[in-house]
Amino acid sequence: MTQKNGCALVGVTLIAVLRRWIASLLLVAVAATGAFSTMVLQNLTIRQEIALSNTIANSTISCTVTDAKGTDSGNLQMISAFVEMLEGKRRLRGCYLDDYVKNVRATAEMPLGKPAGTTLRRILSIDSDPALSQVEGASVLFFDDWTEESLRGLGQICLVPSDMVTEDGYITISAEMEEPVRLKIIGTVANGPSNVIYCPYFMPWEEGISVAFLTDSCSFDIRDNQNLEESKEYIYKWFVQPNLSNQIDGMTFGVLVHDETYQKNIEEIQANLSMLRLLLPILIVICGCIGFFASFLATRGRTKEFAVMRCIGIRQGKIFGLVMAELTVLAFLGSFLGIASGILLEGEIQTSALLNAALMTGIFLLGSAIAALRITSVNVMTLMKVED
Amino acid sequence: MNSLVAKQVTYEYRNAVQTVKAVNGVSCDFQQGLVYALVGASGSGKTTFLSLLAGLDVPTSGTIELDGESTANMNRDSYRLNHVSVIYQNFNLFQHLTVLENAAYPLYVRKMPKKKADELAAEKLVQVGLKEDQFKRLPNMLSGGEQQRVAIARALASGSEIILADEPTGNLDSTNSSNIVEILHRLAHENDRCVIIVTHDPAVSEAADVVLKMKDGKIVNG
Repeated sequence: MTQKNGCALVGVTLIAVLRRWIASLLLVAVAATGAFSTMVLQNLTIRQEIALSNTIANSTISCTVTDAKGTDSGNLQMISAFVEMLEGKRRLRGCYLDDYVKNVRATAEMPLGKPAGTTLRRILSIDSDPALSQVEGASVLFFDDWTEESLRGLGQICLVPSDMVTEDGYITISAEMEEPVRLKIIGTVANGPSNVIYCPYFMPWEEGISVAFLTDSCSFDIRDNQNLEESKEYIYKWFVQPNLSNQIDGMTFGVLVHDETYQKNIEEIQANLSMLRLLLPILIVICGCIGFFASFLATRGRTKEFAVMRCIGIRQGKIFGLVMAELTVLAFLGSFLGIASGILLEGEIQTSALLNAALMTGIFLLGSAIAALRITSVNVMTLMKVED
Repeated sequence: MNSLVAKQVTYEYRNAVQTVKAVNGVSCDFQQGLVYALVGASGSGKTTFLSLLAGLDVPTSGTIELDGESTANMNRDSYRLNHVSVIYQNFNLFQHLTVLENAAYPLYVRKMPKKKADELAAEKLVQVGLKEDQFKRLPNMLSGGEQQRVAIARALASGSEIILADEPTGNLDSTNSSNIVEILHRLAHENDRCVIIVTHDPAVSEAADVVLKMKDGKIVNG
């Protein structure tokens, strides 16, 4: 019963809040603006952080091996050991380049005496040869259970143009200075070059013997964009930056890291992020100050009212409680409206953005709490002398 | 309450230059059923003395006793809530509460059920001459005289035995002044309250049962 009766005082206090609707509306607007603006800015920041990590994780930074001047990437004459090293099949002088690179693509060509007028092209993957890419229009059809993966392995197998398919499924080839070798046909190439036979890059020429081919073209991707600079530094140990070298000796090769677009995107996002990270605390301070002083001044402006309450005999603590009840209702209403508007605008809300809104509400309440404490701790006689 | 007694009450405060004795060794007693007028020039200490009687501050020395018990030993909030009501020249009503809510406010503070509090307050408002259709109005929709009646109704509703009025007619015209004085007199004589009025108005002091004149912080005719 006591609690219910005590509600009469709280009830009329809250009704008075409604009757002071202009002041109440202003306080709600201040609380809502603080919660809304910090929440939206926090959300923008989080979105940019996600965009940054997505760009880093999902971007492909490709690298093309060139001659030392960087002018030719199609006729490298590079020993295949480099490719083996990039692929992780060979480690040289403690270098583990496959920790830094992935998706290695390489081709090596050899003119064949038989079938006459044909070329044997060794590829690491279908992507290695532009003619086989879908862009160029060629299509590869694998027989039975053979897959593209076979080309990455080790075996005497090949892909041939459709008109070279034999009845027994094998084709015999021979190059100058080499013994003829019989390759199993594992698929055909339609709409591609009519005189090129494709085989795995690491195909043994004879059982157990691998011929040292010279690589004609080679490219690969950076394995981990997060450590781009470290990766580039490591790669440059084995290649050179083409624009830094004029040396063409058949032993020195350049590498072009195609990270311009990536770097531009990252820099753009990081610039946005830096600005947002700078703006967010400024906005929090501005909104916090406005919220603090709005509630402080609104509460202090009612000094005479509190004086009359004290004069009637209401305890300091009770007045403080009533003021805080009023301001809590307004602060939470404002924050709720601010958050709801933010959700409507943004479609989602992050926990840290909610924490900012809570911080704004806290600062708002702190302003009125300090004002109320200051007022209620002053001598009643002094308070009664305050003019309306 | 039987009596409110001031014994050698002194109140000092310090301004920028010196310590001022606003009330200087005042002794007097106040009985129920009488109207007291506290008169004197501005700065004579009458409003400060009234504030000490109201429990708004404590005397620097001396005591104020209610039925023999020093108010210094009482909880001042409780003393103000249960024994004293103050009426001011500028009414001091809550501007965002209705007439009825203003009058019932001390009862809400005492946790009286709202319905009962409102009924009691309505009775007191009628007693001081306000009409029922005015109960739901806000104070700024009333005249000065009517606002002062609401303040008196609030004092009445609170049930305090001591009613202190600081220039209650200061902002009113002569007709409203005499009405308010009449109501205060009825409070003392019919409702057995002790009414102490600080005033400059000769009409108010002439109508009082006892006139106490203050000069330089002392009662000079007590």
